[in-house]
Amino acid sequence: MEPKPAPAAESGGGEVERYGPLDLRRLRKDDGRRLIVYSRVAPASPGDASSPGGAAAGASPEEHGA
Amino acid sequence: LSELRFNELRGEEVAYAIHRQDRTFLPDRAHCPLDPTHPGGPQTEIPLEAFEIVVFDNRFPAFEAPAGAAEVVVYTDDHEASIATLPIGRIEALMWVWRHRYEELGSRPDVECVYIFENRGVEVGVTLHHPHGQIYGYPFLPPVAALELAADERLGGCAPCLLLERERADGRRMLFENEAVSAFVPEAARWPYEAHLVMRPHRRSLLECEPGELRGLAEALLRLVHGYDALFERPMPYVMAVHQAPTASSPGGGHLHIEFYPPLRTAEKLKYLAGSEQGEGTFIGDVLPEEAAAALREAVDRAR
Repeated sequence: MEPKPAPAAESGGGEVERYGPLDLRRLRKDDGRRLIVYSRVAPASPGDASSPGGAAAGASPEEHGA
Repeated sequence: LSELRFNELRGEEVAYAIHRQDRTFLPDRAHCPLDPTHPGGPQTEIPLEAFEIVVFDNRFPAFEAPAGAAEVVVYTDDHEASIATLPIGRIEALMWVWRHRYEELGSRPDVECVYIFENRGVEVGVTLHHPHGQIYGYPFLPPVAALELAADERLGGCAPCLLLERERADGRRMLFENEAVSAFVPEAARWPYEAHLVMRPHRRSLLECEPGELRGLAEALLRLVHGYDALFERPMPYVMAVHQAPTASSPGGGHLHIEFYPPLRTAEKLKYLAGSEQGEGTFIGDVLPEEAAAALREAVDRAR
């Protein structure tokens, strides 16, 4: 059995990372659990009426007590 | 923490997560924990007013570090949506989220198998209606993953590749194909309308997929779910199981495919796992896979 490489270090503070076509932000909930927010980098297509991506990307974790 | 005990007669691990007994169970509409948090409203699991997709540690985990992981994947902030009503762009984004979680959880030394799944409908035990799936990082190789590796050994190659070749040659149970994915009812389906989405190129996991293949997988997934919902003209309950290569530090094995296990055998009748299935592990089928495939093909076409 070969040892696995060390897991990627987690960023904190909600900085935006890029993963493929996604932006992601890592937050911590009040009880310490991890929460990752994903949003698409490309603007939502006209048919994607359910996408509130802009709102998600703009939301601040501090504003919402994360 | 959960406790693992080894069931010697079955040769399998059993996980006891007794804290899950108290998990949120079918809350009323105003108290969905997977909704966004609105100003002045109750604090939910997601402290954002709007979002596309979020993943968080399960509050009631079956597994957690340093012995595995349990995450919740919320597909949308729209409580009334379902995977079938989401636009293709969102499903494609979901494929990337799954890929990301597979990569991160799979790199952990305490995770040997990353299992992404969705329970859809109260018939399969859903406790929250908001569209979501889950991810388990098993700290051991679970039995189904081990059986798939054993099938590779038995067949002398990648079992999903070989079985897909057989299905395509036979043709009777094929549902549809796109550039990357083939959909079919397997020859020996265990559930009445079981269907599999299999990557046609050999891809051990989402990590090996090209962006266009992830798009193809998203399209196939949506097309199949639309077909399921058209079959009985109601949202089809199912368990959706994403099978990928185990992430234990051993080489080889695994082929990305998604298995769907719908429990309905008619619009109103459930297939129960009863005496033969539970007591001896032998499924008794009510619908021939060829007939199920014909009905599903018609439903998939009707849903387009």
